[in-house]
Amino acid sequence: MNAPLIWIVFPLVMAFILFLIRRRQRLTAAVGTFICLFLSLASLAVEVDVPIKTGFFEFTIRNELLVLGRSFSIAASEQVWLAVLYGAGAFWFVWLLFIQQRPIYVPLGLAIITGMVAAITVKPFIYTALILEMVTISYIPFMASEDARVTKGVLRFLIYQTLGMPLLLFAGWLLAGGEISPISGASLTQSAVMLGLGFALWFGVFPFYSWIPMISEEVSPLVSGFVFSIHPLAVLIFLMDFLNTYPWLREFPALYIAFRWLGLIMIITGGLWSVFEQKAIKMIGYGALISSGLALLSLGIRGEGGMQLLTYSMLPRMLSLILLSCSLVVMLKNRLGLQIQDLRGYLWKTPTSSAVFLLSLFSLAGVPCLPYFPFLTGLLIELTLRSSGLIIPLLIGIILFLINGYRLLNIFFKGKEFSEHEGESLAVRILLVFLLTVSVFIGIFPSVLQPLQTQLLNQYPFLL
Amino acid sequence: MSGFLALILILFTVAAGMLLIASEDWRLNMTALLIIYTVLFFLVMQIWPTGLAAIKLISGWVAAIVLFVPRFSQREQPLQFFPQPVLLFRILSAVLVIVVVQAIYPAVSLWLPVPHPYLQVGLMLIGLGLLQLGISQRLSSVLQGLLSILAGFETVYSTLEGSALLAAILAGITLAMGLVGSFYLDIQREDQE
Repeated sequence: MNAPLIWIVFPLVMAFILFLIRRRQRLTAAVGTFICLFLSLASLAVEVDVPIKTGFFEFTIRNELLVLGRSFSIAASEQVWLAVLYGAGAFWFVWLLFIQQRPIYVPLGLAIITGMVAAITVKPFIYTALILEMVTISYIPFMASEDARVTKGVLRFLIYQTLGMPLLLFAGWLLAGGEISPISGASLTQSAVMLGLGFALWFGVFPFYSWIPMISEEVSPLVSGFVFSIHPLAVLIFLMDFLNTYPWLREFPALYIAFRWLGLIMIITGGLWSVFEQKAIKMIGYGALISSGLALLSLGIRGEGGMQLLTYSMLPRMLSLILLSCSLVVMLKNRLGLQIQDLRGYLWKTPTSSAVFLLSLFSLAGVPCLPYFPFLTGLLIELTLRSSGLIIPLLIGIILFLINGYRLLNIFFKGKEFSEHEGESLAVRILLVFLLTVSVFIGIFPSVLQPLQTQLLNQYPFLL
Repeated sequence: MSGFLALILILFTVAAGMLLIASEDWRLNMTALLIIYTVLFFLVMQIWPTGLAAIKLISGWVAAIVLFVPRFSQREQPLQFFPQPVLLFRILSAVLVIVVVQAIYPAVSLWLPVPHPYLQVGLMLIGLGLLQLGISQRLSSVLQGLLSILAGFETVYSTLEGSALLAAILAGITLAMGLVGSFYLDIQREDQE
């Protein structure tokens, strides 16, 4: 038995089978959810390279699979990433049991998650860039519109991701040279610039983030939410691997300053644009921008404090984006171009999804009792101790996003034009309320994420 | 590699790149991509085993042909070029890119130890691909630009690292881009008809 066979080959085969039966959406959604849940729980429960006894049988799950002279290896410390990625997949696919979407979502979604897992487990890790590029191409049919058109945002996404890959590979090659002979200052600068540029293109960092609002406007919120939550996670893991592997890169002083300032710019511009936005559907894009900015800012705080914040923020980010996109899908149905002014009184029309939508926005703005609150307070404390000059710009961005939330709250409350509830099935309501309860629980008791955080942090000893 | 062969390959790259930029006819564009991947094969063959280098040739050719398969059924039409002012602008821009590449490649070779013909061809393809991306938003042009950039990158990177998995994944990327592009270009063409 082999770990990559279980966590990479098996789901990939299942994705192909689900593709063949994709017309039966509920069945594919149920099977997809089950597979993701099973693989997520298995990655937490099963230890690789340790003999497992079951009755008369004793077997060991080996951690490595050799492919064309390179290996896919799932170390015990990496299993937590598998749990996070497949867990996120389960959270996404379960919605397709209740919400009608394109039949291709589950098989392609499963293949994309498997691709991400393959990308983070390939050794040497520089091959991650190549596998992520393969995954990027899979996003095209995933994000193509109902009438099978590739929209401008999707095309821009493809361009940026494809341009990023060579830069990251060249940066990796230059940095790997430092393992053989000492790396010169000029080479370090060149590789840091290439790494920074490649990473900015991939992660959607200022000024290469125009595809985020574009995609959020052009495709279903369920799809954009999936992309905005899964894709940056894999890119962040790749970046942390880079930083953890190459000490000379970690010592490059401008890198952390750039992370902090670029993160801040993303937060401020995300907040500013959201205030003037007229389309509800684009809120998910601004939410993604703000959360990515916050992740980048916490990565910029060098040391254990920053890493703890970053690892903590991963689950709340995922939850907030899931809630935001699913509530939008339920609320807007097929009227994706709906203006914010048309949402007058929606709190009476679709009460659960409207409330969840607003609370998810407030969550991203760090309102107390919601999951981003402990993160934001921690971030403010860290910034006070290390670089207090960044607090004001951070607060400006957050307050702008909060104002946007208040503006929407005001519109949603105004007028009671709808006398009957519309289109919120009981199952959808239960699911929304359940996820919201989980969010609030994390917001009130953030220490529940401590074990997950510890496992994630153990993977990056040199970043602490 | 002999200087004469290098010169021939560089000239073919320039011709193919110019063709890609100047023409909007699918037959010429396909020919340009086929030439680009043939040049890539001859370059990579000098440093990699022929079998591995052939992967690049085959995957590139298949991608180039698959990308334009939906057009095969079109009625035969005379070759299409852009209107004269647009054509002039495109050719001059391409010439500018080639001149810039000729100017900067010695500097690039100082920090990227890549033999000159590889760097020249690679940077030219990357530059012309970027130009293609910059001046057109049509799906077919974008895909041609991306394929050109990837071919340029493969030319340069093959001198730095060579492994079967690298060749396999890059071939997979090229093929996937051709397949996905072909599918959506076909749908767009049906809509236009």
